[in-house]
Amino acid sequence: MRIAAGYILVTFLLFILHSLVVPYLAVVHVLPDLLLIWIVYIAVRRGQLAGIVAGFVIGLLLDLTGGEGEMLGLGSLTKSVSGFLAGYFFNENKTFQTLGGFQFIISVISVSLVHHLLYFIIFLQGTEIGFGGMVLQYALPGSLYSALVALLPMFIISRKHGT
Amino acid sequence: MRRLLDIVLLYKEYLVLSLCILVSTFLLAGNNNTQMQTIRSLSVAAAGVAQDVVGIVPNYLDLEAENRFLRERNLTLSDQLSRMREAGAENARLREALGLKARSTYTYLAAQVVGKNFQPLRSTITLDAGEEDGVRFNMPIVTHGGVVGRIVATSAHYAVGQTLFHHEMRTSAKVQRSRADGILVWDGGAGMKLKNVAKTLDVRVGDQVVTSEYSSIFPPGIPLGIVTRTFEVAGDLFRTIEVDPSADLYRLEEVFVITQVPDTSRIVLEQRAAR
Repeated sequence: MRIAAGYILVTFLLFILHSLVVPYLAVVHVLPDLLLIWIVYIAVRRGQLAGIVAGFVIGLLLDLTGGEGEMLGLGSLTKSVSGFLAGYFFNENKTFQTLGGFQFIISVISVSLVHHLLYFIIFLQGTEIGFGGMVLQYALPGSLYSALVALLPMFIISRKHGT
Repeated sequence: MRRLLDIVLLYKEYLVLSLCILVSTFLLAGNNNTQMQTIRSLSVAAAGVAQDVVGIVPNYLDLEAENRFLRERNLTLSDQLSRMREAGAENARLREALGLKARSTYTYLAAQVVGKNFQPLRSTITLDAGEEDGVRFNMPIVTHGGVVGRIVATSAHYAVGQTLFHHEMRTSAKVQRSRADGILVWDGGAGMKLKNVAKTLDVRVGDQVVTSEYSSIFPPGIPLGIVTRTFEVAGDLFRTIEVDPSADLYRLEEVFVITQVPDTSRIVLEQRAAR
């Protein structure tokens, strides 16, 4: 119960950061996805099931608070799939080794790429925007930026658990 | 039950993911923006292709019922088609008949042929118009094609007409082009002969034969037939002329009775002079 409350609290804080602070971190319109990094963390730390649920809930919250133009259901879909994929990096015996190592960075990059691809496949339907351009302009740079930001929690866990 | 639970626990991640995707898809479907409209149209196209493929496999349970329904429907439609064709043909005939009425100054009474009698040497038709409609003995019967015959018997609501294919039918006729006079009679078959036409008179194949002003029954100028053959027999004073009737006497359905009573005083005078 305490663990769940802790996760909820952190989710709430990250939500606030994502909404208020992250836009100021934009580099040529490319943003890091803090909530996605958090979903990957949950999946690697607690397993695939937790990652799916976390992704679904967080994605749904993002859709609901996204305002006009956001597609309700898109965020919950893409992030629940992200949580599922991130769960493949879960190893009950090597949790902190994964989180404190470059495997975490690789998982963030790969999951972020899949997340963006899935998002754009649906989001760009019926528009004239080129898929390839969006991948090069947002998906790749965004994944790399997220991985860069993920280095911070990676180093913290690594120092804390001596991995 | 325990086994089911074991399976659920074994694949819980996939089940939960499927549930999340399902809910997300449901939420997405509620959107009405450009993206979802495009996705919906793609889904419809994909469903259509899948149905085409699956539709190849016949559903035998429904085939019998479908066959029965289609047979009944086919019967109904065939009947309707037949009626429509009938109505169309009648429409065409009546339009032609209307044209006849428009061109002529005579008074016409339309009548349906309700009975036909093609006994040898006695071809008659029964009409659904009688004395109460103004039909009288010896009134001419015509169609848009030409002369059919004359009224020979009447009752209150019906009349019997004698057609050109009757051994008693004789009528004064004239070749329209050359004005050669003759008497048109039935040849016993499917045609007629124009008799008493001198060999010196000009009659050719294709000439139209019409009623002449000498007829006491038929008004002048009504088509009787077309000359199909003309030849001379050695030793005979007159030319032999074969004529095909203008009116189609084998397919009579609607006719007109010319409600013109012949001038009986002229007939009486001619009979008296002949004695």
